[in-house]
Amino acid sequence: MRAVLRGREREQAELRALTDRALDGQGAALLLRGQPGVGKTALVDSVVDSAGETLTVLRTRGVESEAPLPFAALHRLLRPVLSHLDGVPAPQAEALRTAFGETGDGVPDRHLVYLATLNLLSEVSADRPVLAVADDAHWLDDASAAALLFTARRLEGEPVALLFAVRDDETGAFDVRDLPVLELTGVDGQAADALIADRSGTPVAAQVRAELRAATGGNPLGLLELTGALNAEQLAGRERLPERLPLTAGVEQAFLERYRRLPDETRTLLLVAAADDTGRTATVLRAAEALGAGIGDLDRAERSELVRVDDDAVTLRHPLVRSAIYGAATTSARHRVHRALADALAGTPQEDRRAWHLAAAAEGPDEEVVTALVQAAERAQARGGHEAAAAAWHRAAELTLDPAARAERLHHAAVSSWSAGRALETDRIVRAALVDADDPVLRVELLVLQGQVEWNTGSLDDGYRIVCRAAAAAAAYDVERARVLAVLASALASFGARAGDAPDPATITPAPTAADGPEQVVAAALIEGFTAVSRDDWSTAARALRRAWDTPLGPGAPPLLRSNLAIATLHLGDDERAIDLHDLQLQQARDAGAITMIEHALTRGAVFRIATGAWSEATTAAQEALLLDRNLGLDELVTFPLAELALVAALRGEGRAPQVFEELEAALAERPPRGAITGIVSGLTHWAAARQPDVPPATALHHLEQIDLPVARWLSALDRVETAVRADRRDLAEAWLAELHAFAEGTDMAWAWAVVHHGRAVLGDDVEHNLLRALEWHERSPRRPARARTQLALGEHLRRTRRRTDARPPLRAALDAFEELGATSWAERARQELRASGETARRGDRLVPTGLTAQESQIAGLVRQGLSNKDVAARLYISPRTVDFHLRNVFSKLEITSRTELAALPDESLST
Amino acid sequence: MMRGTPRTFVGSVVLDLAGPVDPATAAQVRAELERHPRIRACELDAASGTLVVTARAAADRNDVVAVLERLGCPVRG
Repeated sequence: MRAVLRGREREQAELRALTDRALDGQGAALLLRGQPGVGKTALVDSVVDSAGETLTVLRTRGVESEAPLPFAALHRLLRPVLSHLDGVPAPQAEALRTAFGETGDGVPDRHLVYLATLNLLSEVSADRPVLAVADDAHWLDDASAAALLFTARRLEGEPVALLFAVRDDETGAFDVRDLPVLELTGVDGQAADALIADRSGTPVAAQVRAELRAATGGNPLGLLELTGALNAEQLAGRERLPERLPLTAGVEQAFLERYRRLPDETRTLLLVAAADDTGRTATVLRAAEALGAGIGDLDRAERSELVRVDDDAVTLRHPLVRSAIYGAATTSARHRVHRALADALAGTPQEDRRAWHLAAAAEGPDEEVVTALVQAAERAQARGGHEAAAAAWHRAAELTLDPAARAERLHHAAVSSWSAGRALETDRIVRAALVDADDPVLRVELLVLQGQVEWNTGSLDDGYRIVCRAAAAAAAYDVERARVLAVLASALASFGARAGDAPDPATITPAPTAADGPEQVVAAALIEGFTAVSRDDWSTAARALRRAWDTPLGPGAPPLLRSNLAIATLHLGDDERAIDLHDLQLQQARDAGAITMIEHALTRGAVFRIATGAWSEATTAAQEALLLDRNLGLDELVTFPLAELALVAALRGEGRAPQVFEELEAALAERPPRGAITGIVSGLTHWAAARQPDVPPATALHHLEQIDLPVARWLSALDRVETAVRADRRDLAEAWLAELHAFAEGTDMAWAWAVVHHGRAVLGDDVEHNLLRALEWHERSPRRPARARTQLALGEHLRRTRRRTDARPPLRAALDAFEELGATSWAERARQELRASGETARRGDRLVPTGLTAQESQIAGLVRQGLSNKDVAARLYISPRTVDFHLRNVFSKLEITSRTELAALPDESLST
Repeated sequence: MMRGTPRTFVGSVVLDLAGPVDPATAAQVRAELERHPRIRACELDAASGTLVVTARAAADRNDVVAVLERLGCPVRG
């Protein structure tokens, strides 16, 4: 194979640079991309050969037929180093063992498998740097591909190089948009001629060489195979060359011609080898023998150079040999070899492979095959292989004659597909299931899933419409289920979902009776509350939601009820209850390793922390959510924590606020929020936009006018009123104040009354009286920033009315509060007012940016809480070595040398 | 599985076509598939490119896909 490496000096140097960086502890991933036969594997072999002395080399390969076998390729890669799993945090190690089928307890969240992969490689590299190679990565099973891509994006600071080789005409689910790429093209003319000479062994006419170079574009395999297919007369230029075929087809044709010259039995053996995905000689021989071939045919196949036989392995010379032979076979021949392979695997641990061969051999509905596929699906699910589970359930459904059973299996497939985050596929499977599903219970569950896909990835209104219909359908046979679904529908409506043609969630189920348990009472109260929110009927909403909160639920209550109890706090701005419920949710999510729920609880909890002035905590929570989103590829969620970070930066008046806001805008442009978070993200974004430095009042007002969601209107109410007055839109200020007044009257929330009174003062209505009334209400509210703003307004008013002594206490209180909050611009304003009142205000300690990145700041914060590097790594879904890498940067930037010094620093020292 | 692996099915399959289908091609798709002895019905939503194919007897999905590809309607996913 060395001959193929002619003309590859530049590429070899680039690959050496990759391994050299790993040796220096600067790990990275690289994608080697090129057409079939261009020499990717040969290059990979060369880097493996040269790295073997200094690096631990791990290697795997994607196999097209292994797509339904979860983590198969990853298992091959990591099998030689699984003894190092003891150094990986126990939950991750356990998840990886389960993913590989070594234990059977089920993977709680497959991100744990991804993290285990990263940490295992990191652990192995502690002994010696690692080169991990995935050849034919376009054919990796989905679960392995996801784990390796997760790892590839987190190698900073790890002595690990990860090399993927992929065909440029195959992408599959292998999403490589952000990995560096080394494109491999044909070799130059000189190297091409040398390859032709290597293959022919005789002089080749110049025009023939030119034609071969042109036909192959310098593709080494093409050059070798097409040259080998020419006879002596053709090579000498005395006979016409065959008609030119596209390169891949041409190479396949060359392989096929060699294949067709072999005896029937040998061809059968080669077809078995092409259909087989174990690569084991024993399996291939056993299946081939059942079809009349024998060991002699294996020898003949090897002599044809279409396969290699080493020890216990049969390897096709090139993937194009496989596609050529398999593609040329008739359907009935394929059925036969798959059946033979299934029989050959009977009684072995390769049950999943056997199930898929049985499925490929099936010529009609077959319950034996369906049972094997269902078992494969259940095994895949337990290992966290959602895509594989979906595929197996789907295939089982396709071979199921009974429509009801088929619909049931399709429902399982759709649930698995949704767990894998495949919205389009889920929707397609649900639609197929609805064609067959007669059972009303199943139809409802299918509709709920369809609605969930829709409101998360498509239209909130359409998703709402589907869930309303599901709830209405459920009401005919299961009122309790219908009521829980009506909670879901009404919650969507409370976040702005509308559909005139959908059943009203409030009327789908009757009121609970005295015989109904607390769950039904809570569900009914939530429906009433959410429905009232969507009508702006705040007194009904407050009464109903408080009834729901005050009704104790048993431990078996549906999770959907509990999560909606927390969501409801957002509508009333019940900050303390909201923080308690979301903190509880966060703790439960952390205990269960439920990552999306962790993200959910962090971002929702941060909203209330922004309102109450726990801005450092809000920032910490939003940063953790953002890191989770980015570390786990949850790109569709990043705008929520980014909006929170942009808002806190703007409220604090930080110098970097415009930069944070730009980052938010870029994320919004790339991936606008969808579904239920749209309103809150939009509201927080417009509020942050209005609070950017030097924004003219008219521009700020333009942003504030676009806030639709009531909760976001209430949060920004004081800014809305103040800005409208500054922009000479008193009419708007009065209208917004009237809206908030109605909310305050209906809910009696202290913070709302406080802002109403402060707003009246802004409008010039009995200023001192209203500001004092506002402060009375603030005493009953946890919203510290709003209280400090009222204190500042009162101090300013008193100072301007020449009551300078009276002005000082509220101004001092405001300054203290703003300094505590880190609200620099407001603090400066309070300081100036104090000076104007005749008091020598102390100089504030301006925050000095440390230049820490968000990740460094986050890691420093967690280390200050006493977490070890391992704990920080587990919390942020990165490796301990990456934590160490960032922590060293933190020490350097802060000019400290120990964790003790870090813990002793004041909070502001960690600002980014 | 490998491209071209036999994939027999009964009942209905939903196929997403790569892009919308013009009315003339949609009519051709319907006509060709309904002529297939093992296909009972096919419903094509041309705007969304969604095709529901219902088999009369066990049929091979590859045969359906091959017809669609021949008519210039490749299948997504």
